Amino acid sequence: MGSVLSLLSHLLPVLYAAAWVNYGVYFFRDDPFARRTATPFLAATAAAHLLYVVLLTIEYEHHPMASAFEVFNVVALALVLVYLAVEVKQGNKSTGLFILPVVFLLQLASSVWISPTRTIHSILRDPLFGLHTGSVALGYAAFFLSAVYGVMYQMLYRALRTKRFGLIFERLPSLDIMARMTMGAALVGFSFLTLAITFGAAWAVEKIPGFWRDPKFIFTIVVWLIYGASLVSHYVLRLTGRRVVGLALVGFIVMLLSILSTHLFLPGFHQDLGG
Amino acid sequence: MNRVARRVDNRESGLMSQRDAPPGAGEIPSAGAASAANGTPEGTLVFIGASHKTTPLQILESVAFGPDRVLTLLPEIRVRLGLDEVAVLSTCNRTEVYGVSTDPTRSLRAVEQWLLGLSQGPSSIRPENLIRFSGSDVAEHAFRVASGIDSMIVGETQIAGQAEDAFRLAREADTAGPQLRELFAAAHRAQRRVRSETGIGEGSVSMASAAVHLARRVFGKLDKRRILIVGAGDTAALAARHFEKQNPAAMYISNRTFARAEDLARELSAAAIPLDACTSLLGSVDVVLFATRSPEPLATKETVTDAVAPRGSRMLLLIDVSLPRNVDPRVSDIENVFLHDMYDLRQIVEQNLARRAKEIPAAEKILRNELRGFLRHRTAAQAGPLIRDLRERYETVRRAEVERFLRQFREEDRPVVERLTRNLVNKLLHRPMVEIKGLSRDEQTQLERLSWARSLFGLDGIDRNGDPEE
Repeated sequence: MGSVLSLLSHLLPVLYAAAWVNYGVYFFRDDPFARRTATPFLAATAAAHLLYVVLLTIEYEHHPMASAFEVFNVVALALVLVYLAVEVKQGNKSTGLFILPVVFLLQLASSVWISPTRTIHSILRDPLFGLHTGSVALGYAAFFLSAVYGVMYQMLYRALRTKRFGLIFERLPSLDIMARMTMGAALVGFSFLTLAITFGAAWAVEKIPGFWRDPKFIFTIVVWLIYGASLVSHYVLRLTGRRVVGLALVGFIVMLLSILSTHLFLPGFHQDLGG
Repeated sequence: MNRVARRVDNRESGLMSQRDAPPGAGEIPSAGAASAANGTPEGTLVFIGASHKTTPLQILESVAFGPDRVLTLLPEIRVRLGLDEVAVLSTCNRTEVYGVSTDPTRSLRAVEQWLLGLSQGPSSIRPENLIRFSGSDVAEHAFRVASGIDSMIVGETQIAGQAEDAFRLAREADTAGPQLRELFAAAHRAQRRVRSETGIGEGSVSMASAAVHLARRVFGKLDKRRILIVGAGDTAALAARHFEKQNPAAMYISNRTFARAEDLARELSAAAIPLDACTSLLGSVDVVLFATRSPEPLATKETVTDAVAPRGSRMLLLIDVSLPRNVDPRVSDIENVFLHDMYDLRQIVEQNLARRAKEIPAAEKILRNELRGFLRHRTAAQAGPLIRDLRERYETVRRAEVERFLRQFREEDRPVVERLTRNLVNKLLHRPMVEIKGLSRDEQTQLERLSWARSLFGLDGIDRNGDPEE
């Protein structure tokens, strides 16, 4: 099984790079071959990735999220799966070009630096912790998608305002659909983040006294509040348009800042556990 | 076989009188009767016509026919002008006669004289307006026309249906035979490939469709959107019809002359509203198209700002195709309000036309490929009977000679003689066969070559069943 894992680990970044190029050819040239093959090729790559994650779990006998690079691996897979679901639902594959570079980089980082180990901290084997990290991965993936759609919304909004009827105008989904995709993905991300916070708190309440003082926990609550505000504006107050999408983007930026700052500058129990 | 005599008023149709007609012309056999009898394409494809590329539109009008007129003319054109088969494609941008003739030069001259005689005066068609083709060039032209490459608006889809209609009319008039059937079927196949494999038909190329496209780029599907059209003139009506095809949730027509708004609204199942009620509707509609001749702006920044306040952050698209403009350009400063004018629509149309033009080389490559297939099929069909006759003639001679000398050979040597003579004939015929099957782009040359080969091998006296006539 080791050789299969090694092969898939090397192959996946290459496959994602090829898928990205294929989506690029479709976006810029509307090439019939790329149009026909982009989705099936990505779906096949995602299937190979899923197989890799399953084999990794069987081989090392723990859920494959015990280190940052293992998290990258699962987040990359979650991103692709959520993206494929959205692409099929919306019938528009022009956003793949913007999603896949990040998937490729996550998988590349994971494949290059990943060093799965059989010996992990005993508390990381707790099923509740598995639910917590799984929800985090799916939540981050959905927030990332929401941010990409939000940026594309801003690009199309600007193209319409400045009357530039180029590729952005022609290829992206409509402004209304982009807004719905942004907020839909944000809602999915918010739901998983809520689960992640709930599972994490339930798991940490006995094992880690004073966990609420952890910087990552505090930042996560801030991110949760920002996304919550943008979702209430959209779904409850029926607000749409640039400002609501902008608020979701702010949530994503804060989330990125929280990940970077808590890993680099603000020590806490998340770092101690390798997350 | 249909041998019903059909007569029309020759003065009206401009065709030769009955007295001038060749003997037997009073009886009209069905199209391709000769060739259908033996399954061989006998004549050559011929073409003559005028299009927007060669002829000003006011002149083109003088030779434009409606479907009823085409139906009446087709049998007469075929018989009087010496064509075996004929179809006429007449649209607002072209009038083209596709035919099959055993004497292409004479037929083309006759059809040209007929077309020139159809109109008189300064707006009449002239010889320099007409283009003429024969043989494979006819097929190439038909493929280009059907796929929209030859159209005024490159890639337009209407022409494919019009070409099909032209063939349907020819079939109804009993003037379409196997050759035209094959030609139009091949043109249909070619255009389908071009449209599915290239982007030649993509993008909005009219102001009205560009307005709809713009609305779809903002809102996606328009079936849950409310559309307001301000104006009831030609431009407004055209745009309204395009929007109506999107099945909007509601559509309103407003005009200074209320009766005209009511007329257009009735046609489109929309609601007519007075012009002064437009501003209040700005709060609830999603798309507004202005196409009036009002010298004063109908929507200022202040009125729009006030009107859209209750709609919160919902987007509003204003399309102003009026001259002078009806909407104050400062309206585009209002958040979530998009204002576009005629120049923006023109920009979209021009970009799309340029994109379509870029697809022409790819489309032409497909057409070349289809043309090769079409010509190969025709050549095989034309050469088939000659090859069969040739083989039968040589086999007859071989068999006769073998029977003559067979008794001079021993019993055990006879199969060898049989094999030897058979091989000899095959080897002698190999080179001529290759030459006969050889593809010639020039159909007339191909037919002449086949006729020469028939004469060279002494097959002129053999009927289509392969039996010597004497």
